Amino acid sequence: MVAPAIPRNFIPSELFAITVHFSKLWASNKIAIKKQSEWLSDQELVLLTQKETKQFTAIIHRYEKILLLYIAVSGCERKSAGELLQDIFVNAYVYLNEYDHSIPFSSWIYRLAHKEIDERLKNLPAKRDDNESGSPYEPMVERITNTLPDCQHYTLTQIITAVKQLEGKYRDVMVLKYAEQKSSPEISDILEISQHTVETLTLHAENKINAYLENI
Amino acid sequence: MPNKVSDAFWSTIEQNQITPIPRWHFVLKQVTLRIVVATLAIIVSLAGAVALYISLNHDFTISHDYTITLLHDYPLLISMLMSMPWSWLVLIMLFFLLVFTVVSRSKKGYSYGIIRISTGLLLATIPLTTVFYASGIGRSTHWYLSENYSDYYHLVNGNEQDWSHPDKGRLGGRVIRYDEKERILILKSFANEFWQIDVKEAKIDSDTLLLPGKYVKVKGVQTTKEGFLAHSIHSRSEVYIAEHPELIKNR
Repeated sequence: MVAPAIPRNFIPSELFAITVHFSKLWASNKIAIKKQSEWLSDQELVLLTQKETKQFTAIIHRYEKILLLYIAVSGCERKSAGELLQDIFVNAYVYLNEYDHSIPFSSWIYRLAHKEIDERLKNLPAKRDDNESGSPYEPMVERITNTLPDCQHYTLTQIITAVKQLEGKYRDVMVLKYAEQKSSPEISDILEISQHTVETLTLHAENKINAYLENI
Repeated sequence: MPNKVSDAFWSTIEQNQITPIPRWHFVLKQVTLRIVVATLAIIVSLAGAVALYISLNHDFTISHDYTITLLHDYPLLISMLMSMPWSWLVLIMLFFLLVFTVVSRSKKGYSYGIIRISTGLLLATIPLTTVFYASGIGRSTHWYLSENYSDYYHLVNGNEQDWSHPDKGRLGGRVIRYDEKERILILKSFANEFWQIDVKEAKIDSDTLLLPGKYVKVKGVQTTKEGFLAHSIHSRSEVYIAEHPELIKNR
């Protein structure tokens, strides 16, 4: 068997140069796409992703930290947070075409996250990380203290305990309002309840926190 | 961390060959949901029209004589309560609950609240009920069901039931045959029994047609098990006459 003849004018350094050139082009194109997706709005990014699924990476980059924090304050075990996050993104990917821009994308992905977290906590109640305190809760407690003047006399741990002892539906609205800084319409979209119900639940939750703290 | 998450994500997607559910699937779901809601709204409206027809077409609302004979049997309040189409009202409530459940479980249904959904339902069904009632669809539906389904006949307490008491001198039904020479009327009652009615001494309303297939209400006396002596004969409904004025002229 005869090996193919190498052309006389072939220079290995040229091949190397071409390879380097295309690698740079590919990398710059990738950066351009990444940069483009960075300044796109959520709605535009989703539209792009619905056409070109690979763009989902940009959605992951945009929401992974936000959702990890949400998972943490929702009371899920820190160890399973990564796995849970993965499940949320897989669900978002599968149901991406269901999103129709009638609500903000962030509310939609939070809704999926809420359902997934709820499901996880229902199936594995023992995994609720109730002893966890500290960093993920601090901003939430700070906002609660600023809003509810009665809470100013209590420690961070006491307020965290007061939030954690709340029933699921009250805790959900408190986490979304104070930890995630979501508005009533956004909470309504995430939890799929009316705005009136959101406001009622928030009021009851705040009263319950005050009552709990008074009894300490 | 970001790369880890996205890399793990894409590896899961590729390993399990996961693909997004196509858009048409969700569009179809939404369209189906809307068709279901529209169908339920039509059924509620039709039920409303039938209930309205049953409520408004009791003879104590239009005939003084009849009111007296009926009140002889029951006090006014009980008569009115008995004449309410309860089974239809229950059916309407059930369908309302069903529509409410379907709407509240739709994509944006959660944001509407009970009052908005109920108001929307009422706004959609009241005009349709009025149209069904005014066009006679409610009446036709009630008549059809009374005629063809004996269970329905026993379930409602409409005018047909009021006119199914030959022992109390009230008999109604469909004309099967009329012998003008002998002046004998063969009637299939609302309770699906055949009666031979002597109409020799009967006063027949000018708008009443004794033609096969037409419905009449007869006041008189029961003579035998299947025999009846008519004192007066009335048409089942004025609506029929309004629709066929030429028949009165030809008579």
